Formats: sequence, structure tokens, C-alpha cells
Amino acid sequence: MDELLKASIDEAGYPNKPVLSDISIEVHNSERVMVVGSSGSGKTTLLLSVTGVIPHLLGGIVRGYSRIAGVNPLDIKGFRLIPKFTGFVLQDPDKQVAMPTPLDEVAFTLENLGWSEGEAYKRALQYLKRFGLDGYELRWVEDLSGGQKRRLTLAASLVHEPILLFLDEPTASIDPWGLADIRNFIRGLGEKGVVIIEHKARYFLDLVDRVIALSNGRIAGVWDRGDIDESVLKRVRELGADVGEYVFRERIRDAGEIVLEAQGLKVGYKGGFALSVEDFYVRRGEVVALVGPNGGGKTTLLKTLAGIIKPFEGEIRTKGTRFYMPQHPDYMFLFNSVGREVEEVKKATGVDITSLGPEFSWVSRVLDRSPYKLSHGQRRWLAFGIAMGYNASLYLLDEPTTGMDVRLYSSLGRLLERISSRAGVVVATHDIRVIAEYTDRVYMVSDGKAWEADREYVVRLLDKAWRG
Amino acid sequence: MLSGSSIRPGEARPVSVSAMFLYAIWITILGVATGDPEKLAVTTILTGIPGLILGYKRYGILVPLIGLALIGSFINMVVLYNVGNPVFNLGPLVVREEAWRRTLGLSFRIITLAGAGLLFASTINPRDAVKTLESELGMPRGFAFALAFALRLLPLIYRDLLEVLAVRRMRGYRRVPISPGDYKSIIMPILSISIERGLWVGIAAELRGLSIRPKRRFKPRFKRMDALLVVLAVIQTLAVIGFLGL
Repeated sequence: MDELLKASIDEAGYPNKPVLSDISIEVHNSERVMVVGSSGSGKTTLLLSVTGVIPHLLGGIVRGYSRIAGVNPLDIKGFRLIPKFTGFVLQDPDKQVAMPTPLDEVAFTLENLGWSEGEAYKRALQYLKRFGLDGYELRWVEDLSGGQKRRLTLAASLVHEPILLFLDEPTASIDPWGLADIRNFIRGLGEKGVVIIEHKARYFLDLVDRVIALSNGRIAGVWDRGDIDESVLKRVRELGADVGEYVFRERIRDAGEIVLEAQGLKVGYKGGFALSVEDFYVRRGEVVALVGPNGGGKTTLLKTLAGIIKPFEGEIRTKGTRFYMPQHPDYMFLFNSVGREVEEVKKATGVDITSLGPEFSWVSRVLDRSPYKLSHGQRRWLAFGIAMGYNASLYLLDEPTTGMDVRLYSSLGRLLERISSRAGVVVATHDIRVIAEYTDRVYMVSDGKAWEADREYVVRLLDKAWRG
Repeated sequence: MLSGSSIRPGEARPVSVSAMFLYAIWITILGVATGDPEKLAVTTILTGIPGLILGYKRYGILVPLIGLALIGSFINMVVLYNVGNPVFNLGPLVVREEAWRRTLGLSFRIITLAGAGLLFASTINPRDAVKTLESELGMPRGFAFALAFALRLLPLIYRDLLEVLAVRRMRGYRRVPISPGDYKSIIMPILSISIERGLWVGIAAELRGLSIRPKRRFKPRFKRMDALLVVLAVIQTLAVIGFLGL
């Protein structure tokens, strides 16, 4: 088998902040290798190190050896050559797509590599069709759903037929149907080598030839597919990767008064789509999930229920205050120090975030830091702390588990239980675990309608969907 | 309000990208070169207002922000320079010559600069910008790409802005920003997210071969309507350097 990637990194990271030590990785053609680990274990740094991004674009240091198809990306000349035979799909399409239309985005790759404009557009059109984006060639990227944007990044990364593909957390914010597309796509890659960086390892365990687990910037284990048994899965889970199946929990909760009730709702944007909701309610003490495909209108419904968007028709009655928490935690911060955020919440609500419980004890140690400089997990937690400080009767959370490893997820579960013990909670989510383990009722949002559905049925439907 | 465009990709444009870019840059220079309200009135009428009107279609959120900037400049000038003959009364407040003149000068400059930028942003799409600025005007590809991506970033910033405003409302803060602190609390998260986004898009572009993109040099392809831009630019230049006796 041809060797597509061979790297042996002695040390990599940033001045005075080494992230990786003693890492080796090899990928041959037709091989699928998955790198797993908790948030902060060094998964993305590994990708950026072996491809030369850290020394050439981020001012960092990589000591060691790396060859991609025989080319040394740690040397600037080699770094400039690797786009010819590699493809990259990053976590968030909005942090990857640079051009205004799908056609331009896919052709951009080819034009960079020297294709003529005419040939580039011809090939780009073929790839857009292959990825189900025919008819969308000249639409503005902003008009595409999350799943379509993900397919666009796949098309733009493969259009030049690379021999090695890097996928960095391709499941982030993707619905189970989109996940099935990605799995099918990986299955159909033939002789190409693939490196998948992922903490939701369970979605790809059956597709990969090898699993490499990282912990604190070092290799904690390497297993070939044939060696993966229960003890290995247990070990991988201990290292922060999600390898388990969901556990369906029967929820018998003593829900209280209705805190939000809506009837005959029609929501959406002028000139855009509309979503009809016959009947919707949330009681204090229960967690209600909004579930459905990307672009179906979950966030729009959530914002309408929060009072941010006015419905076209219908009535929403509430008891007490509502608090909407966006998907990206950075939107929640209004001041440039954690201390100021804590102070302002205390001034507005009388609640001290640092005393909300053991999950928030670290906050008092970072009061002088900017909230934007915290780790992703810390930012997510601080955002929850701010929301909890407001002591609302109803919390509306948009995809709260995005980017969370298994440890953070467990803590989030405990937090959801705490919040819902005194308030109603509505969660827009694709995460089957959340629906199976922490919600009481489910509304499906699809095809312009939202309706209450049987929770167990929805969990099974979603589980079947991602498996394709 | 940001989802559409005045000109869809692939559609023929009445003016060339190079001409529009050079025009916008030149008017920006004129706007910076003078603070005289009489001279800037011409750039405001010929470029600023048309730019705002065209820009409103695609970047609607920016126009009210410009309105807020104008109100802010008036308040500042009244506080700092309210001397000279009375011009008009605003309730109990007498607005005097110097404050009014400076308000007009700064307002016309803001409208001119914003209008020139919006004129370019709303008539050019990022792909055309990256291609033309690089191949016709010989700009470094990194600079042309950064400028093109800035155009793509605007709709994302608008989306960010809506989220930040929603959170401000949830947290009990003013929806319409008034104080510098309000503006800071809106700009900080948007800036943080945009910087992170820009960094990753840059990395992704490099990994897709931006640095080996072949240089294609073409002579600028000007269109007939570009002549109109030249005439407008000459009129505004003459006005600013004083030949029109204004």
C-alpha cells in the first residue's frame, strides 16, 4: 500500500505552550484513520501540525518529521504543494466557505490549482450535482441550510480529486440525515486515504480501519479495527470520546404549571419559509425538545417562542420571563472580562455566578480574563451561568451540546436537570443522547409543520437515520 | 435584508469591477482630504446618497447605524463647538454656526465614505473582486482575497448582530445602542467571532492552494458606463479642489 501520510512529531505547539509530544501517525491509501480524544487533547493541533499550518500560518513550532505523499509540508515549498493532493473539511462551514455562491466556492479550489475558468466551472458543476446541490449553483451561500453548506465544503474539498482527505469534526451541527450522507460519502471514497478528527467516535467506528486516541497532547492508544472490543471502547470513553450508544430513559417527572402556551402559530420570515404550529406548550419542570432536519425552522420557532421574532399568526401566552441562549456562547458575553460579566449579572439579578454550584467554581479563578479567551468548554459554561443567573421561568436553548466532548456532555446533563427543576426548558437539538436521556417531550419540526411526537419513536427514527 | 443582492452572480454589470474599485477608492480619498461642508456636499450628493440607497437593499442594517453616527456627531459638535451666530433653535437649544458647520462637514464625510464603500460592496460580488483586483489591477492575491472575503463576511456579521441584540434584550439591556458602552458590548462579540472566522477561512483558503494560485494578468476591461464614473469623479475632484467656486 502507498504511504499517503507519515508523521512523527516530537513536539508541536506555540512559543511557551507546547500542545503535542511524541506523536506518530501513518495513513496508507484506502485507509480510514480516526483521531479521537476530549476537547483540548490536541486533535485539531495534530491536523494543523502534520499539514504545516502551525509553523507557516499560525506562528507555532513543529519539531519532527512529516510527509504527505512524499512532500514535506514543514518546509514552505512543500506546504504550498500539498493542496494539490489533499482535501480539508473543517468543523464549521461558515469558517471555511469563502465565496458567495456554491459554483464560485467549488471553482475557487480548481482555479487556485491552475485550472482555466471554463474548465473549472465545468468540473464544479459536475461536483455540485454529485453532492446534491444542482439547482443551487448560483444561490447565495447564506440561503443554504447547514447540511447543504456541509455538502458544499465536501464538494469543494474533493473537486480536484485529492488522494488524502482530512475531516475535522464533520458531525458538528449536522442532523442525523446529513450524518448519514457523510457516512455514505466516506464509504464511497475508494482508494483515498481519510483522517477523521472526531470526539463523537461512535458515528464512524464501523467505517474506520484504525483509531488513535489522544490525551493531553500524547498518544494514549492506537487500535486497529479488529482489536476494538468492549475494553478498548471503555478506555476510549475514559479518554473523553463518545463511543457509547444512547440510553433511553423513561421520564416520570412531576411537571408544574404551564409557562408557555401557543396556539395556531405561523412563524418564519417575510418572503422566506413559514412554519405552522397548531398547539405547543411547556410546563415548569420539563425539558421539551425541538427536533428535525437542518433548515427546518427549529431556531426560528425557538426565537419566536422566546419573543425575539413576531409570529405571522397565532398567540403565545407566557407566565414569567423567558431566556434564549444562542448556539454560539460568544454571543452571550457583553463585557470584556469575566469579572465584569459576573458583576453585571449580580447587579441585574442578585445572583452570583461563582456560587451557582461546583460546575462554576473555576469562574472565580479567571475573573480578570476576557471571556473570549476562555476554552470552548469554559465559554459554554460561563454562558450557562449567565443564563441561570436570570432565573427565568422558561429557557430556550439552541443546540447546547455542539462541540462538547463526553465529559462536558455529562456535566451539561446535570445542569439541565438543575435548570428544569425550577423552570421549563425547550432545547433545539440533533443530539440523540439529549433527547433520549434528558427530555420529557418532543416536537418534530419538518416540512413546514411542528407537531408533538412520541419521544421513543423519534429517538429510534433519528438513530436509524444516521446509520443510513 | 442581507439575503439578496442588487446584482446576482454571473449577471452582466453596467460598470467594470476595476473602474468601480478605483472610483470608490478615489472618492474615499476626496472624503478624507477635506472637511469643508460645501465641497463635500457634491461628493455626498453624487456618491454618498446613491451608495446608501443601493447599499440599503443589501446591507440595510448599516444605514441606521450611519444615522446613529450622524446624531452622535451632532451632539458632539454642539457640546464642543457651539459658538458663533445662531443658526436655528432646537427647543431650548440654540444651535450656533460653528457647531452646525462642523456637524455638516463630519456628516457629509461619513455619508461620502460610507456611500463609496457601499456602492462598491453592493455592485460587486466577492468572486469578481478577487479575480479582477488581482488580475487587472495587480493586487497581491492575499489582499484581494481578504477584500473579497470581507464582502462575504458582511451577511454573517449581520446574522451575528441579530443574535447579540437578542441576547442584549434577554439580559435587559437597551435594544437601540446609545452610549459608547452599548456600542462596545455589541462590537466585542461580533469582532471576536469575526476574527476567529476570518482566521479559519484564511487557513482553509491556504490549504486549498490560494498561495499557488497562478497569476493571470489581463489588461483592465473597461465598459462604456465606466465613462460615467470618470465624469462623476472629475466633477467631485474639481469640487473638492475648489474649481467649481464652491
